[in-house]
Amino acid sequence: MPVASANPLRSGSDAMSIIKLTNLEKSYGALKVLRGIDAEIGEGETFAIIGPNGAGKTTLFKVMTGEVPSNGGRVEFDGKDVTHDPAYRRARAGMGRTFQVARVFLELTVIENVIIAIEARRKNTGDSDDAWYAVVSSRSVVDEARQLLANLDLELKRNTEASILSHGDKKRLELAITLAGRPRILMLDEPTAGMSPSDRIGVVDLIRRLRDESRLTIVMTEHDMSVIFGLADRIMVMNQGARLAIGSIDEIRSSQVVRDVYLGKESQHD
Amino acid sequence: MSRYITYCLVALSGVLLLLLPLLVNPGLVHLAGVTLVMGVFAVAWNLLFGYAGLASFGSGGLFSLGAYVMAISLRAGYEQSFLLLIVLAMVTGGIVAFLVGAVALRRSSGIYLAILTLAMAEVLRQILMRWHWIGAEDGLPNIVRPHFSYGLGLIDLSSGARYHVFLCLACGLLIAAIWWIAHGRFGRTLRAIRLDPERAAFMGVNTYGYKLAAFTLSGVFVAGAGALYAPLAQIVTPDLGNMLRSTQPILFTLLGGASSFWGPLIGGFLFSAIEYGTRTLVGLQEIITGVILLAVVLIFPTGISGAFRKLFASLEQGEPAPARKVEVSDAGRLGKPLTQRV
Ligand SMILES: Nc1ncnc2c1ncn2[C@@H]1O[C@H](COP(=O)(O)OP(=O)(O)OP(=O)(O)O)[C@@H](O)[C@H]1O
Ligand SMILES: [Mg+2]
Repeated sequence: MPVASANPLRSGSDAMSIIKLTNLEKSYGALKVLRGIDAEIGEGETFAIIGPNGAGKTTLFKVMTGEVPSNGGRVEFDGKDVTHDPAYRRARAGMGRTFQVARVFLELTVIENVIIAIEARRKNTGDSDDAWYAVVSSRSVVDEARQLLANLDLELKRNTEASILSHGDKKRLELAITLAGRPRILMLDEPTAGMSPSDRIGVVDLIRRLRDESRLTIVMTEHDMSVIFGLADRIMVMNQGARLAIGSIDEIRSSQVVRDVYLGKESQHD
Repeated sequence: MSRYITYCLVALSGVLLLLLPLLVNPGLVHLAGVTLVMGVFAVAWNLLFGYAGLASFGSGGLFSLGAYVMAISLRAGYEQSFLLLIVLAMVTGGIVAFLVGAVALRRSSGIYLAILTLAMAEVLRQILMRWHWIGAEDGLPNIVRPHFSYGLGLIDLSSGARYHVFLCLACGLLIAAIWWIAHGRFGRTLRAIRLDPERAAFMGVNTYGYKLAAFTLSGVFVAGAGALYAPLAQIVTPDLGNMLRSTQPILFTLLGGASSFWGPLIGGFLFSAIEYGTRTLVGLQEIITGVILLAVVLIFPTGISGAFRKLFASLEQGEPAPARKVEVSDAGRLGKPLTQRV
């Protein structure tokens, strides 16, 4: 059911929200990394989290996905409180994520990486057509894996060991693994970091396609403002663990606070 | 290509083992039988280590458990149900492994898991040593090799040669079962968990559940090996579960290579061969064995099977194995073994 890019749901907090964060707190020892984050992300929305290095973006991802426990507050996913659910439950419920530094199964080949992810999903959803005694992955699993790799321009490298892939290829493979789980919400931690400009354009195109064709909700962090401004419906700006601002691209662009703390600094770097 | 060579070698070795009583003296047949049982033990241990990345140092406890279940039942006269007794021993091993794993895997991995499992095995050994009903320190001697009627007729395993044939078939079945577990979807998922448990969790995999299942299954097969061992040795003692026994599969695996399914088995036979070859060199034996082990681990971090794989690869391509195989060596540390191939 492809949804046209003029998605009526993609209009912000008044839409039905798929993620709701309430007063999220996280500390590492004495270091407060998240200070009472509130946010709602609507179904089908592309939501970007920006902020300087160390702002707590990755930590927010970790708390949302269950990689680390929060020290306070609530995470709701699809109307349910998942604050205390382990990561694998949240993944089964439809949260997919990539890591800032791509994590794939390095010793396995590209296609094996994807096959494992597909088989995990099929097992969890109970639509596996494998015979119980099967050793080799079924035809349909392999076909699905190849289709997915083809969509990500990785099909020719399917028998390459993941450890010798280039940085950009690893990032795309990680995306393939994540998409193999058919998530409802895709959380991308700096999807284009360290990529060549051409790879970057490819990934941005891909994210746009996922957003427009597959009705995926996307939450992403990114340092490249052109990527953010080209993709996001709404932006949250973080600084030192706190939410500085939240709103549409125009609202964020015109916000004096944001300009002072973040965008200003960013342009000084350039 | 090297996959077919592997299968041919396995089949050939199986036939050779089966025919061994016709070829060599009973002493050597017995040694081969013990090695085979220990090899199954090691392969079952490596299901945990090489696939799930969990190092247990207490598997000797499960081995002795299986052996004791078999010994007690045979001495109580349940010879007739011999095949069922093997299953009983395996189920017992599975239950105990499940209970230990449920506690041990909750929080611990790496060195903590190693120490915890070691302690559990020691507790079991202390119980066996103090329990007079099962012979305490002296164990249970005079275990009969069974002799039972089953469907078609009488099966008599009382002679060494006959038991050897049975042993080969039973071990073959156990190994086939482990192979099947390791190479199917379950085994693939275990490998993923070993390589990156968090990534696996974000695919919706309950890593704790999988590790516990692997721990339990490994226990099932280790106890199965123990059950087959009791009638072979015809005596069981608490020392079957001591630290030395627990380290044996680890040594086999280091020697043969954790990254290969067959590595531990190859390592086992190599180990026995070294021991046999040096049996007259009293006092030097351990030193020689140790030096060889050290040399293999240093020169071929992927074990003998890894060395062979490199050889095959270079023969196929007419050049040395690709450089990327080299970087595998730094993964040879505990809990993170190597590439996984057939
Ligand atoms: N495991 C940890 N233990 C202690 N401190 C941590 C830990 N992880 C992160 N931090 C600290 O928390 C703060 C936020 O880190 P985080 O990785 O979330 O920032 P970020 O916004 O993702 O930054 P970047 O843009 O560099 O990716 C930093 O000061 C970091 O040093
Ligand atoms: Mg980050």
